[in-house]
Amino acid sequence: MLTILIRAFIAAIFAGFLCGLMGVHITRLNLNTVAFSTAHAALAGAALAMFLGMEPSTIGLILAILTALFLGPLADLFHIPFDLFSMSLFSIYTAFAFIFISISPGGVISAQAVSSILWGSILTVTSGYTVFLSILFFLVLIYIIAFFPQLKSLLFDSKLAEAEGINVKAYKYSLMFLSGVTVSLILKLVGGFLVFSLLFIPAASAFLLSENIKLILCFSAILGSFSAVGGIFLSLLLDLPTGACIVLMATFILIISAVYAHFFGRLRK
Amino acid sequence: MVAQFASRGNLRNRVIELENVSTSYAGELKPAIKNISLEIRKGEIVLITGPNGAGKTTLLETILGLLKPYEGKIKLLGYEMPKDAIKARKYCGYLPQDFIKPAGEPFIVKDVVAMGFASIGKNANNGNILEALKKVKAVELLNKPIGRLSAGQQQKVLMARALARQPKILFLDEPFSSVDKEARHEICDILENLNRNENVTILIVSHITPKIEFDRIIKMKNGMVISC
Ligand SMILES: Nc1ncnc2c1ncn2[C@@H]1O[C@H](COP(=O)(O)OP(=O)(O)O)[C@@H](O)[C@H]1O
Ligand SMILES: [Mg+2]
Repeated sequence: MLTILIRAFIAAIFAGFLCGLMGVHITRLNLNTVAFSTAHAALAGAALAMFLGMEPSTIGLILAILTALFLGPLADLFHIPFDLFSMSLFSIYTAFAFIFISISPGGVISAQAVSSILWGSILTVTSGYTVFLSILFFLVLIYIIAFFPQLKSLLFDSKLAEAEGINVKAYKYSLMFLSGVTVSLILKLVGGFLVFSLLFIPAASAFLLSENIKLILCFSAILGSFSAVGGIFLSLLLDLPTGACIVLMATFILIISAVYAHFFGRLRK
Repeated sequence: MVAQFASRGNLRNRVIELENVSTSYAGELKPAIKNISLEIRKGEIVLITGPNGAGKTTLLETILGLLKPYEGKIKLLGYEMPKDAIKARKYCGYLPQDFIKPAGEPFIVKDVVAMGFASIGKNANNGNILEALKKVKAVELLNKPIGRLSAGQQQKVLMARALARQPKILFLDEPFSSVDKEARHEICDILENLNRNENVTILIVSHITPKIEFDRIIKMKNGMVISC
């Protein structure tokens, strides 16, 4: 039991950092919907796997990663506005998820398995999962540090960045991919309904606290981590669902940030 | 003028070539620019003028490959556009029109100027950032958040960013729209010097005529070049 807990807390730290970092990027670039389409790809994949009698989370993860990888390029290829394409996929995946669940043998059992995807659980955290999450975290960190000047230019104004010869598409696609992978991995911990909160609420708090993009990224990552760890702690303490407690924690931090920003202004340096 | 004269007729000195270029916006039936053919030589300083909606901005963005023409051929510094846009743009400086960021943008002036270096593989440091800001007489803005500056000040900062890149071609879209008369004269002087001393090709889009001795004035109307 103790090792499960330790693993869960380590996973929560990485999950929080990842969501915090990706959240700032996708909010600034209006790529929020990538989170919806990939999360529901994971759901549809899991439902399909149950119907076929395979391992749900692996198939879910594969479908989510494929979605994150091809979403941007396909939208551009067919000249469909990215948001529209992403939200259409989101609906289609949800429809398929329901269909597969309803035709799966032993409907009730599979519905329960699906609900673990929807709500998340720390009990599903294995050491392999924690290692995978930490690898993703270091990849994202290296990516952001290595390309920070370019990313900064993109976050400031993507049209100007493009006009100056930055490969805006490549950066957007890679950010979508990394966000998609982050979302689909963290589903396991927080659940499909609530993964978005870990992605967007710490970023919102960070934007309230600072006027400096570097600080915003740091705050968002730290607050994300804090929300995830605090949420798990809360859920153990009160015996409530993990995802919901993480949202409560993140929202609590958001309120404090808003109050702080109101009275003390935003940090510039 | 001398440099331009010497290069006349030399193919390699054509830095911008447009052949029958037309661009339309998605969902619009009428093209925003139509059948534009144009050549600009190295070291020219050119004014593109005409009434609102004439297609000046569209022309600039098409040359830079930000908009894709539905017909015609474009070469920028010998690169085929928009195919090789990323390569060609590294040698360009660009000042977009009506650029204004709201208060609360999480970037200070120093960051914004430094971004100009992000795509040209040069390191930004205090030295070259200050040098660029000095040119537009805006050194005192260095640590100010960009969104808390006036439109004119923001325009100066973006001009500094474009100059910092030491471009071969400068594309300036309404660079005088927000700055006062004094700043306008200063910027005109800077541009003239840049053109004379460093042979930078400069394209200025403006519906007013600034005090610069232009090599050429291109007049546009209804998406077409009416004189050049
Ligand atoms: N984003 C856009 N979508 C549709 N039409 C546009 C857009 N931008 C400009 N246009 C149209 O293209 C024409 C040329 O505009 P523009 O190049 O901005 O003119 P100018 O810069 O000379 O004022 C105008 O008729 C304008 O209405
Ligand atoms: Mg214009």
